[in-house]
Amino acid sequence: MLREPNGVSDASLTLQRAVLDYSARDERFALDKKIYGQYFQLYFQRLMLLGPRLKQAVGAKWPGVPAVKVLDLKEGEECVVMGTLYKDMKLKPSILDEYVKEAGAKASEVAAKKFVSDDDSLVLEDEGARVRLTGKGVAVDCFVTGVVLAVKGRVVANGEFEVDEICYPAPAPQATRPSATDEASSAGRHVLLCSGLRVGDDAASSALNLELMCDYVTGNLGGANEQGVAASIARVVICGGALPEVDVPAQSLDGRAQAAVARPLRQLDVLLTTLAASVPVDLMPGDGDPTNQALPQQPLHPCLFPEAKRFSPHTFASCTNPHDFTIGGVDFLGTAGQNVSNLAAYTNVVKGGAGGDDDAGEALDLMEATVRWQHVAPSAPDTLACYPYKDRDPFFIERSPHVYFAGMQPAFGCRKVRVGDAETVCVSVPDFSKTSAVVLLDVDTLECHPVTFGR
Amino acid sequence: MSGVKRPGEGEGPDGKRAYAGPSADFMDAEPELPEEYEDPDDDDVFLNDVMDQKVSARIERSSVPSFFSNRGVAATQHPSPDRIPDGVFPARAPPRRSQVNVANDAEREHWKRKPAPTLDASKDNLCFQQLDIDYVIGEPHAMLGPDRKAQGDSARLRIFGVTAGGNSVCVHVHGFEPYFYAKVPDAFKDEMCEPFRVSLNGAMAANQRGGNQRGNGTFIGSVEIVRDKQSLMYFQEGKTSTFVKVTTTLPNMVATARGIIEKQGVTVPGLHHTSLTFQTFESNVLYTLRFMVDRGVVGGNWVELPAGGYTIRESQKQSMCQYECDVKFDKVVSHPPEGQYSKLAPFRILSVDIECAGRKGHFPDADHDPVIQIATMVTCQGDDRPIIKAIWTLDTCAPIVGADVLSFKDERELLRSWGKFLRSTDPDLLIGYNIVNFDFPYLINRAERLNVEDFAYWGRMIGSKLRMKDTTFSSKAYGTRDSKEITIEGRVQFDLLQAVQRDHKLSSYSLNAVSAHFLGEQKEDVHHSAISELQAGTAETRRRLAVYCLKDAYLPQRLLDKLMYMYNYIEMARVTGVPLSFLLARGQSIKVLSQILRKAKQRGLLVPHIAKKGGGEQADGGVAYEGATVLDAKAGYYEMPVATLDFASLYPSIMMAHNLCYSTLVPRDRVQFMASEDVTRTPCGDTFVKSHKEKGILPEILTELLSARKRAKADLKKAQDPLEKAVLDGRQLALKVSANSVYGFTGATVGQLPCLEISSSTTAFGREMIDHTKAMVEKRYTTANGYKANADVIYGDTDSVMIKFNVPELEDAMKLGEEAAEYVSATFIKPIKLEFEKVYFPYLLISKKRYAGLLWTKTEKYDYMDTKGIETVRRDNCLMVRQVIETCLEKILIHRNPKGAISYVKNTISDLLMNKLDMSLLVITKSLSQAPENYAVNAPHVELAKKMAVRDPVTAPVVGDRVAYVMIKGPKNAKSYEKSEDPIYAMDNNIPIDSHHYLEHFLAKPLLRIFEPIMGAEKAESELLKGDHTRTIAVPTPTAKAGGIMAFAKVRLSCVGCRSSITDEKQSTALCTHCLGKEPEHLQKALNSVNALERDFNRLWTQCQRCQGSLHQDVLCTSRDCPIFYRRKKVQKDLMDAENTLKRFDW
Repeated sequence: MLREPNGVSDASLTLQRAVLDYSARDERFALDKKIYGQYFQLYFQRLMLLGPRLKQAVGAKWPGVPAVKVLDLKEGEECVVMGTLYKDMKLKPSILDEYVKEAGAKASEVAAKKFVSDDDSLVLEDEGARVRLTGKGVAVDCFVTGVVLAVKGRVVANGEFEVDEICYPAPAPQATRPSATDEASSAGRHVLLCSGLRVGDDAASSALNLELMCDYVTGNLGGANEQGVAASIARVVICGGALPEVDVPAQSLDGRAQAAVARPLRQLDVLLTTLAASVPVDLMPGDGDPTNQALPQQPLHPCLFPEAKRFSPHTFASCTNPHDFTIGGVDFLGTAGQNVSNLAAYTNVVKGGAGGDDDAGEALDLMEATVRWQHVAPSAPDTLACYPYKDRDPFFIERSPHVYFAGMQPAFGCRKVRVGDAETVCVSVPDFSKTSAVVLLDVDTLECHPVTFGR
Repeated sequence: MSGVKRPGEGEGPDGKRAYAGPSADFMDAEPELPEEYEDPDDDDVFLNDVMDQKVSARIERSSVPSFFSNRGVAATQHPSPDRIPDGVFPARAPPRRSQVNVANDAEREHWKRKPAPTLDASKDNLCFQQLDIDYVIGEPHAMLGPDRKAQGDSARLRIFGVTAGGNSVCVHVHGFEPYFYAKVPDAFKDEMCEPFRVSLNGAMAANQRGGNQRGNGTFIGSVEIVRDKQSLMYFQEGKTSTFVKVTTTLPNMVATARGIIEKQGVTVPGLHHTSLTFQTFESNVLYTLRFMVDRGVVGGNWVELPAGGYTIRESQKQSMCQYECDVKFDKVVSHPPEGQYSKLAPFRILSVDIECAGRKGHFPDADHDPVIQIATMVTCQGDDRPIIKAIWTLDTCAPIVGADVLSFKDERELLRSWGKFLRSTDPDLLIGYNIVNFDFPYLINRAERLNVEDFAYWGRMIGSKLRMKDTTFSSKAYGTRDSKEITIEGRVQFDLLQAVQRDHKLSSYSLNAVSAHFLGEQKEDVHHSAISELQAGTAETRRRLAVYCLKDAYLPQRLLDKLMYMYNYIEMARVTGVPLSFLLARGQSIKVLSQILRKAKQRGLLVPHIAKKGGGEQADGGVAYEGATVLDAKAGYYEMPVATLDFASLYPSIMMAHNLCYSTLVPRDRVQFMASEDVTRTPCGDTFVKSHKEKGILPEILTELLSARKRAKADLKKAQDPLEKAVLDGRQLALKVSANSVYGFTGATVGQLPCLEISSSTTAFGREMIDHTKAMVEKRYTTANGYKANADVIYGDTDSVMIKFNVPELEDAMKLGEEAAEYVSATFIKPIKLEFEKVYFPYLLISKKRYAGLLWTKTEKYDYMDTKGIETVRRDNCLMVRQVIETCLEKILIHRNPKGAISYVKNTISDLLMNKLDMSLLVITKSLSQAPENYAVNAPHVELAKKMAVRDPVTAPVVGDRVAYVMIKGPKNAKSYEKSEDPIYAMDNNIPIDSHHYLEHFLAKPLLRIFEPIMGAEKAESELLKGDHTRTIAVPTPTAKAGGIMAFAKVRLSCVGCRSSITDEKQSTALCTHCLGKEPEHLQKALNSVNALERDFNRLWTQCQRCQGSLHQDVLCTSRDCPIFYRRKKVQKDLMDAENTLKRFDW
């Protein structure tokens, strides 16, 4: 900022950047030595981890109803069965389709965004066996493979299980949030969530809006009001999509293609350097970013950011996706949105209708569902690629977050979801390249609102 | 509670209280034919009686005499009730216990048929759908009177079926005597009948050892003169001849009597002083078929016994059916399958699959390896879900939802229990996959080995054991194969494997491949060595096996439903008039014969018995006349629409148009006496009378078949109900096949009634018509006649002509095609009709019988890609060939981008040479049909099996396994059979694939065939197979384990970017100093390969998980027929390698 050469700096104009304690809990998503075994262990672990909490919830919800293993089911007797769902879907793309293609129609070219059809059906599987679920108590369209739950009902004549009601695992404990502190300034203290910056992709977002956003965060935009708000931003979390989507062929690149890949990386490095000089930045990888694509995604390699990496580990952190951290006593858990988008393709949720957030409605419904299921990505590995864990399932919710976010969503939206004693704010973080919007979340009140640039 | 005596323990046959009679074992009295009268036709498909008396008699004498006498009316007075297998008539069903796992629970009340409503024979009609008809020999029923009884044993037909209410029926039909005709001179007088009979009877008595002991030595029941009949053969101008109808007392005497009459001769006083031989007619008709023809019964139709005409057996039942009746044969009313009688009864279908625990390294053998599980499902025809799902297991098994588990400690008890179950559920139809040649023989042999005597009673007759023998089925249409023939009285067997093999051409007939093809599902395939391990485990692992086994029992039922086999086969049986069981067990010709017999009967014509030419080999028994014409193909790639004109049902309509039949053929020496306007001279010089003189039988059969087909097709269009549609579609298909087989029947020189004059005339007409059409079209469609361009006939097949009108527009070509069809049709005799059906656009004509094209029937959108003769589904080809050929055709025809196809081929060849192709595309599988050392010639899969047996005898393939292999690089001049290798071994050890072998031996020929018409022969070869893209090749570095020089090599890190060796490992273990500046780019590349593999890994393994139907258990499947089997293995390995590379970036 230009200043009068002889002017005295106006102390009241020097805004202090809000500072909040920060700690990350990403170790559980870190993968060191990968061993590619089968997937059954992951499902098994999931059931083992969520099983006790499911039992607890069932005991509270349906006292006195006997819990029965699928193998011991008897016709007509009311009981509870617990297990993992499997959803049978005719339209679910399969790798086998590549082999059985009919002349003229390529099966691999799946145009559909949704794979839901009328004759989808659910099967519940426990450690021993499976049983097909029917009845009004279970809405097939709202579920995916991999959800752990309990059903109450009875086996009917054809061996199917008629469901009256369902029950999810009891929520994980939630840390108490520090009550609104006295140090809270008038502007509050904020965390900025953004996704889909697509730096260097001129087609996707206007470079100007990105510039504006950057200036806004660093306090170089607007009047005292805006600057005050900017100063209240204690951390920027980029949840996926920082780089443009490019089809990088696996083959060696010619000079021009090399440049096309390298340029956005350099621009992102500049942007991150600018931001990190002013405010701590968490960079999560997302779909298409240069790291592994199966969940959990590992942090972007520091060699990609020769400049910004110098701010590491103080104000620049390359994180995993999902990302689990605490800021100022508020627990955050979030993803770059693959879990939600994948659910969207395999479910047909009836819009919850809460709030007027039409565009974000589906995303919020699905996020709410995952909170209730106590699992961030149940559809992994069935339809969402993930690492075949042998001894654990890192995606189940082991402490209920205060804030749960998903990046790369079509629109902004937020919803408070209460499960038992735990209350979680679900935030759908819009894709910046499509909406030019970011989300400001007040750490004290957990309220959030979008900030839109340009237009 | 088994009180079954071992054979030989007790004397005397089992008692049947109903018919008291002499205790002599009638079977010993079975006449044995003298050797010289052993009819050569006996082994022929026609003559093999449904129940071969001789065979059963032999079995009886040799093995278990006392058991068998029960078959038939075996009348003795020794009641030995405990000989009857248990559970046939349980006094009271055991109470249903809540706890499963109860061994004695195989006869649960709710598994049985619904109780049958009481029937009053004097008031109620009994109407049911018959499914099986057979006959037995026994003492004549009292209703036939004492005269018949004096003649000794008689044949009794048994009709098995199901009522509309789902109750089982067994009807004993009495009094139908076997007979045939013989042509006698017109001088034969009525009073000569008795001497004829006596003379013949005497000859029979002399020829047959023993004779019919129970009777008074009567073999020939009666001989009577018939004057209103005529031979089917040759045009007879409406005259009749004199025949005698010879009735024998037992069915198998027909063949003997025929032999005597035709060869030895009969002396008839007054006619001639020496013995005379006579030609016989209809003497080769099966007894059951004879009955069906005479009574108008067709396969699987509804039969009614009118009230008052039959009696119900209450206490002395011989069968396990709910209703058992006696009726005289002329009281049986047969309903034509129309209207309400076109329905199917709710018969019970039992599907079965067994698992056996084989020893390591051996295919299961009933002499050594136990049956460990039997899965069974019972479905009612018309229901979409099974009513019974049950599994019998050896040793404990954890419960299965929706299925009953019956566990046993003792294998004998298991078999015994399942046998009881089978009897108690009383299925009408037994289905399964390869049951006839594996499951059933295995169960039967195993039970015999373990001495479970009360096991093999699967039939519906009480105390009657099933019979098994080896047969060879030989048919021109279906080839020759060895199989077992198992006779289970009253229950029809339907082996889905046989049906699918017969009706569909597939690259593999494993249940896995077949269900993948028709049901779109991959099936988990557990190798039999894994089965023993699962069995040896816990109740949980056995449960796993049980679930797998149940699935295998369910799939045949699903195939049956999906392919509508019940509808199609019953329709076929009804249309052609043969019993259901003939359809799978016999060839096409019996169907035609059945129709000819029926039709001839109406016209008073008799079908001659033509003795087969001795020593007729299959080779020269084939077509001895000129076949169909194929016009020379003008090979090329046509980018203009090619209209195709088809003769609708060509051969049938020729036969109809020209009235070609046995009965219209004019003998050569009679031709001169015929008025020329009354006859047709065929192009090959034969003469047939025209239909105004006499209408032929074959044209009449064909007219009926085709008009019925037309009706069915019209109804099909109107039908709404999917079930009705299925029935009608099955019907029209059956009609079409039947119509086409009539022509074949006349041409089969080893068949029943060959008449080459008919078949060669038919093809001659066909050839003439094709030439005629070509000439007419090319003459009319010319610029001289005002058309836009001259038309070319580029190809003509048996019944179709391809015309290029040289107009670029699809619409114009269709119009011209239609016009041409009408124009040419007008010159043919009805009902021959040339139809315009489709346009190929574009069209790739490779050579005779080989072409591909995009088929259009309407202008908006093409229907599909039609290919003929292009080997995309050859069994011994690897997937790559199929994929490449299919994609090429797709690119050329659908995308009209031959250039794209060429570059695709180049890319694929380059990928192949660069070792980038998925290995599963290169795997070839062949089955090991005998022990490796028994093969006469060296074959790749045999060599590999030997190699693998050396490496590890436990996992090596054994006889019956499919051996999968890839071709690997071998030493110079290695024979191709030396280059086969186990794909997994090759994968693990980085053994280089011989990509040139694939290129030269698998890809080159089919590719050249496709591309020659497009690029020209020379260019195709030089450009596709020898172009620049073949210059770069990659060969993986083999591991030390693979041997060779690698055992001495030392591994050093090389730069990921430029492959130079890394000097400074401290700075980076991935890149050399030179490449370090471009680290992001190289990292990105490494990531890309990891990501592609990760995605594949996920998709592959989740697919296997879905397929095996469990999330929490590991995937065991080792199906080598599954396209992703190798890929999922390879992706694991590749992923590890790629991860290791990534790791070097020091992340």
